[in-house]
Amino acid sequence: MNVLTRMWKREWPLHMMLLPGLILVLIFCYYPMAGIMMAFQKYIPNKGLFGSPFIGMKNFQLLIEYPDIGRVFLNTIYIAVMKIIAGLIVPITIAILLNELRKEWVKRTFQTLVYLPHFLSWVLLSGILVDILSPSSGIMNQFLSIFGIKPIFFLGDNAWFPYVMVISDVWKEFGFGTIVYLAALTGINPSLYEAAEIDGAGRFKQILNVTLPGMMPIIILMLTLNIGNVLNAGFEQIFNLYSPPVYESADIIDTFVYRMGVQQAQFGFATAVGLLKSIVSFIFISVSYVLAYRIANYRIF
Amino acid sequence: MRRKSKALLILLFVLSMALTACGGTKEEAQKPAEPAKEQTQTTETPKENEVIEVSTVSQSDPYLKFDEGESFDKNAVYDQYEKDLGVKITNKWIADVTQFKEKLKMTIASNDIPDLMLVSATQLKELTEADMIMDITDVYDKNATEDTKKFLTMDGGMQMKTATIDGKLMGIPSSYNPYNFQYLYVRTDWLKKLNLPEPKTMQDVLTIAEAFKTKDPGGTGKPYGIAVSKEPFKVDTGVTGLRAFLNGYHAYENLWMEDASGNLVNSDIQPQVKDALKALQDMFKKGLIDPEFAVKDTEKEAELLYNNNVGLVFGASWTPAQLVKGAVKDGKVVQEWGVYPIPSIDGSPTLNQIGIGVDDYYVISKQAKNPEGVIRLLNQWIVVDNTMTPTDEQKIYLYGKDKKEKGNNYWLLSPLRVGKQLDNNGEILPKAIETKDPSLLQTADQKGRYERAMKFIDGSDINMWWEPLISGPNGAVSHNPKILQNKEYLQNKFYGAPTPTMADRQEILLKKRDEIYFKIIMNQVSVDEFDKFVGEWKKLGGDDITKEVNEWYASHK
Repeated sequence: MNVLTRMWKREWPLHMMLLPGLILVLIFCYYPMAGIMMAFQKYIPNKGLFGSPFIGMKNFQLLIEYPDIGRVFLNTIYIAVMKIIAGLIVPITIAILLNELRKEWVKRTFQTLVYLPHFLSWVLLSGILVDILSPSSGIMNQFLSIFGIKPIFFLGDNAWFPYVMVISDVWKEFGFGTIVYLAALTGINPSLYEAAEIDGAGRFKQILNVTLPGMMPIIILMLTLNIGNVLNAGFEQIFNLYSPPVYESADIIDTFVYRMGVQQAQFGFATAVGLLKSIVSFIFISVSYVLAYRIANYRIF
Repeated sequence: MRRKSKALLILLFVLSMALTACGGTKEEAQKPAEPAKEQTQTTETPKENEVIEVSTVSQSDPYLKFDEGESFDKNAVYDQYEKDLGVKITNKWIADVTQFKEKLKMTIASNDIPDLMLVSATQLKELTEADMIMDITDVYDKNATEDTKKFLTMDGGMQMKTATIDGKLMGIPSSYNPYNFQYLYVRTDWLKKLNLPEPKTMQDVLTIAEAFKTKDPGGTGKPYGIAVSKEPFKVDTGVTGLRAFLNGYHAYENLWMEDASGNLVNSDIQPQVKDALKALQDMFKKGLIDPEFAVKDTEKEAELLYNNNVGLVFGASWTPAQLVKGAVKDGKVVQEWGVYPIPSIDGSPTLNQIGIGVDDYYVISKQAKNPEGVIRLLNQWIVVDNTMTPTDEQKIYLYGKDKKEKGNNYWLLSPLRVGKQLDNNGEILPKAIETKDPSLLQTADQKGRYERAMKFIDGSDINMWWEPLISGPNGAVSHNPKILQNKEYLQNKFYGAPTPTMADRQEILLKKRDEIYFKIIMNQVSVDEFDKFVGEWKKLGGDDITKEVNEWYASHK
């Protein structure tokens, strides 16, 4: 008891310093969470959160009854998982390759160039993609025709659409990931490489036995954070690129919620889906956190 | 001692931070409630000369070009309203066309609506149920002039009826003439070049489309038969749509019509649609339709028209205003277009599908202090917009402070605009333009159109090429008298707010429909998938909706 009071006496100003941040978090992060109630209401704006009638689980029931809901979930997970995997492999590979470059300016130029698309919006990019991938006049198909491949309607074909989404998303975002992994690489102790060289390890062996293990904590951190996105397949991108013929492979939870919630003004329903997504994401993050600890003995928090 | 004062200082700092944070949010939270408070203080009796304020939200428009030094905050039109009516107009926010509707939904959802705003039929019902808008029956009755009341009931009171919920007038219909038909536009220079007859039947249309494809009269190397864009069934798609094509096959897009026994049925699942889709699929197979139409919006698809790839398109009467971008180049007319009524696939004439002439409503917030100000704006707009000989003051409403037409479209600044529910442009304009006789003209709209057409005809402004194609002797509206006389149109029989099942299920039904229609057109599935869709449509709530619509119909007969 004495220890505690003494500690408190000494440290209470420090605790007080936490207060402003804490209050802001309460106001902007926890207070709005009351809005979750909307998931169980038929929300009427004028009556607000406390005046709108409660309808129990009807919003969730409507979601389950929606005939295509299985397909919508599958599309979401399929596209999102592919994005997570590709979004992990590509930047790591590029980062390692860049790290092997000797000329500093080549490295920096390349790094900047691949980072640029990250700043473009999907509204803009979708216009460009429609042109590039056009079966009649796009460069992509003109290039393919050199090899005698018939024009492919990438954005209008269910077999291609998800992959186009994954590839274009990776192209847009891998520069950002590369920077993160490059930062992780600079943290590896150079003496490890020297030791490996003395042991007779070639370049490839060095990557395998020094570089990759050295990056592992960051890789696991990024993976764990990304797994929370398993139900986010990228609304902005898909919304700007999909069309009725590819609904079958392109309709994801977010586009569905957009059409139902925003266009048809079913706020309660949209909140219900959002809540469901949050719950699933939370479960995924928790599981990956535990796995990361068990398998790689790594804790994020 | 020193430590204590340090601690105190920190505490003070923390408290002040916390207090300002709290203060900020509290203020914000109180804002929406404010008008209500003031309302009780200043209700009723706005004195004659007192300036009253009406807040609204506005849509910025690329065609609206402000005079120097003017903006949505301050401009000649608002000043004139304030001067003439004592109504000061303020904007809560301004958004461009693409974002306006979304922003409006957010405004409603956050319960922070302006005094006056333009909403959809669905929102009208929601806002009424949510008790956010005012019952304006009395305000309208007291403040609207006789002329205004006459103006808004020219169609026999149908449109006003749609704004009336449970006997209470909840909004002012943003009225327009419902007899807005679609037409077929064809490159007549190409018809001549290839020695083709004018399109009289749907079969002719297919023949022409095929000839345009195989003979490539534009010489582009990439010809197509007909221009179609990515939302061909939407009512908003005024050019490059396919609704008119459906109509030619006696099929209609999401329209409630009577069947043989007098019950309402939805047009989307009728067998005629299958015929139309079959025809479109055949056209697609022959390469007459741009294979990428599903990802191209109107403007992008219209480039094919501008660049001589396509010479056939369905569209509203104003389509020439779009075509002009390709038809007039460097001060010369380089494309000749003709306009024809929608042909029919068989002997019976095509019925143009039309609505009731109102999609949106002007509503007044329940919190509004000065609802009578809104009605005054309405009265004034009707006077200004319909006078044939505007006074100098009235010209300001249309053209701004220098009172001269210079294409700045200042009429877009008026916050409340209603259009005529009936017009006889089709009877008057072609005759007047042909005989160059302005004495025949009856309305301000006709006068404006006549003057524009004359500018093209006498050669003073070649960019007015589009107006004669709309209003001239062989223009779009010249076909209207015959269509009206023979009743070659079909009006949607359901004009209520969405029924409960509609609210839940409309989205999926339309999505399913678009998906299957597109796939059939693009030859990804057989046309027989349509029958499967009909079954699915009924099962997924279509039958329930039909039942509800018929209950509504029975009570509104």
